[in-house]
Amino acid sequence: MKAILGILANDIRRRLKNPLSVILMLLIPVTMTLITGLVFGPEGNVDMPKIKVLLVDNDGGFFGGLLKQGMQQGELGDMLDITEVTAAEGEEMMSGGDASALIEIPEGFTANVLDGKPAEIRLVKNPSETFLPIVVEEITKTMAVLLDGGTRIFNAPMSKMRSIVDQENWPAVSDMEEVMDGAKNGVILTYGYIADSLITFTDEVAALPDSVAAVDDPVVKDFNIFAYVMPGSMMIGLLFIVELVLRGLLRERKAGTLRRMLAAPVTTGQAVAGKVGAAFAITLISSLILLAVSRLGFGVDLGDPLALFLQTVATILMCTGIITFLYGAISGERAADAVMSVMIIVMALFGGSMVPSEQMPPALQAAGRFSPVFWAADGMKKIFLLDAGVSDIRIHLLVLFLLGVLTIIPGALLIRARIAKGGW
Amino acid sequence: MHAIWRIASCDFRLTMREKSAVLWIFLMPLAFMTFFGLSFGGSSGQTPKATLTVENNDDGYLSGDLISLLAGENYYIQMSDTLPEGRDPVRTLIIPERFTDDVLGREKVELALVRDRGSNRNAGEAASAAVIRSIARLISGLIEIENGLVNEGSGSIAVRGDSLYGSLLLVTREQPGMAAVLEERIDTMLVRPANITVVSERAGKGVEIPRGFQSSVPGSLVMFVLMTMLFSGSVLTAERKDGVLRRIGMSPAGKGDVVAGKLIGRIFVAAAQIIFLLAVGKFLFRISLGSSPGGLFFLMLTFAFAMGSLSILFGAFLSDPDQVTTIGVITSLAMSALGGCWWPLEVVSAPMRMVAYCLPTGWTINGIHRLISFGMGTSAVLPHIAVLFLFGLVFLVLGARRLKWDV
Repeated sequence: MKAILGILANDIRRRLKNPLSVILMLLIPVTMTLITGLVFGPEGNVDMPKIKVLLVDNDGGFFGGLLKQGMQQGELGDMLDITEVTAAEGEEMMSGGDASALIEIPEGFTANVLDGKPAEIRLVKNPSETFLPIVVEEITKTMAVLLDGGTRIFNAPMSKMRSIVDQENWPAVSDMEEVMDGAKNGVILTYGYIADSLITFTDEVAALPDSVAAVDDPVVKDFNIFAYVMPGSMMIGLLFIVELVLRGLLRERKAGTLRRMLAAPVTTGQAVAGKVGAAFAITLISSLILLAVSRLGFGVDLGDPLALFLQTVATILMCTGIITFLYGAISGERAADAVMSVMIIVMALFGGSMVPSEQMPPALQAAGRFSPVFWAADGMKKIFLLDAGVSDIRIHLLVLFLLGVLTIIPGALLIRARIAKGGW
Repeated sequence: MHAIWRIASCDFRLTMREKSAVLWIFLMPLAFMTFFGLSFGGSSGQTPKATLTVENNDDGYLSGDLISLLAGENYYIQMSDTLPEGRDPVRTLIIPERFTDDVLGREKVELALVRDRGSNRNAGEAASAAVIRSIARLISGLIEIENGLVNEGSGSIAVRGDSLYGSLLLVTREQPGMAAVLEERIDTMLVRPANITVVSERAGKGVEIPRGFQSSVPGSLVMFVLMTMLFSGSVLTAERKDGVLRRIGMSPAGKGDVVAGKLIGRIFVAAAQIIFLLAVGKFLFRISLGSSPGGLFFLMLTFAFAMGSLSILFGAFLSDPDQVTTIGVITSLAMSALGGCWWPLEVVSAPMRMVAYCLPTGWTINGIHRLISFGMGTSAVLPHIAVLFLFGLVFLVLGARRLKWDV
């Protein structure tokens, strides 16, 4: 035991003397989290720019104007930046990607609407943008439905009005009364829905995210994007740190220091245990640094201390176990170069380090459950965002501890066997 | 010239012999393209088709009509009582009890759309708009029927003065047989085609691109070429550390030849990677490469030049190969994210967009969009080519001036 602790302490001392490589690894999750926070804001609400929309009004009539006004008032007015252009200007600007969308109201639009004939609004979307043109499309479709419904309700008075306008003579009073009466009923019938809000529609975000539904009676905190991103990003950094420390074994063998160490009264098993222990300890220290940065730098509420402690230890055990096992399975440094980073990135990718698992399609979400990173990142996310306690993350802890134990022991044995055989 | 060629081809061969390099150059970007393409399958110019779960607590026919209208939108409708076990709904429309009676009776009704946190935002916004449109169509249909009955002089619903008396519910209760007639009328109205419609198209000459891969292919390409080049900076540092570079310097090749050879070798690697990834994009993910192969060639060439020069700069400035790799990862993650490889720049704030245009990645992504998304010609990306060339020139001059034979 003394020999193991000696090797462990020596490795930690060496890392403390030259901590740059570990610090650089720690910068990976910090950078990823920081950039996401900078781009999307600490509360995850992007300060969306006004959507630039070009409007070509080839109609110049009442209903074209109505659409235009509808899009420039109230909430839509705050959301859309509408610029009226000619058809040629619009096409040229859209070809250059100068706006998110172009809405073209066709010639004769008002006349067609009055006559109850089909009328098509043309929408041209910017192909290099993904989100904003869809917003404009949805707004335009909704406006079209509202206009369509309105013209159907007021169809009779509008038709009458059209025939009056087309007459060469002054309209008869009875004709105007007919128009007014027809319109009056429509207004009264519609009024209840508008003024009394007979049908209301609320669009709300569920109190609990999908992935945290298992938490018993959680406390939902104010959303902090850093708390949302950091657990996943952290996993990339921690896995690479374990990899960095264990790679030291390969390098020591190459440099001959491992042989020298084994010449001392130290068994191969003790040497391997010392190195694996050092990987665990250094990664634990690194995770504490990342947690401190999360708390002090990003204002993340670290939640229940006991849950955090157990989740952190389980996570480090899992990371150390998985990487130890992988090192046990590979044949040398060249194989490590080829395999280790790829394995870490693949686990991180599926585990939700780069795309939150809630955002993935169901098949990828299901596949993500097979990545150990998922259980580490998801558990941490629950602690940060929902004040989850030990009982709320018991499955995560169980999975992580089991994975850790089931990989660290065979992994260490495999490495010992390789060293004993003169492998690597 | 001969020396430059020898150094370049030697570097290229050595890189391609490394298993790890091949994995990072060809396989990892492929995995990223696939993963991100599938993950963001809904984030293209098309309105995403998502699933809407409906919790229908009403036993009348109007809720059925509303659901039919929603099904006519861009949605898969999943009733909550038929949801497979263990699968949570992502967004749920809750239709309250007595919906039909309350709507017909002009009583207040509240519909709710509940979205899970973290669910696809685009699909959520589209769901909200689809529900609003369906409600609007239902209401306008009902008002039309009410209007018709008022005009017919029905006693159960009438306008007297400025007020409305009665309701469709009263009509169904007071006039036997009217319930079935009303239901049929409503059904007929709701299936009528709309008079006012919206036709959508894409600007430019670009052809339709499969969803999700539109952004994942260019984004992953730019990120991994950058990463490969920055990793190759560590090879240069290792050569300085191991004395390999000094040995090359002892040969008749001058420093200029060495720098040029190293740069061209890196451009070869980047070019091989770009060609492979574009071919994968074209033939596996079936994306369009635009209508200007010349424009794409020059854009990619200058991007490769800029990144190759950045690799020289990294290799010249840093003295530990491991540090180059780690700093390379951090730099490439930051430059990719800020340059628009991870998310579309349209959703970021104006200052962050400005940041994107201070980086070669931002210019490259924008150039690719112009060529592929808009189908523009070479002239549209001439500024991008010029800026990337300038970036490359600055990196190269700084790197070459700094480069020493050893660390």
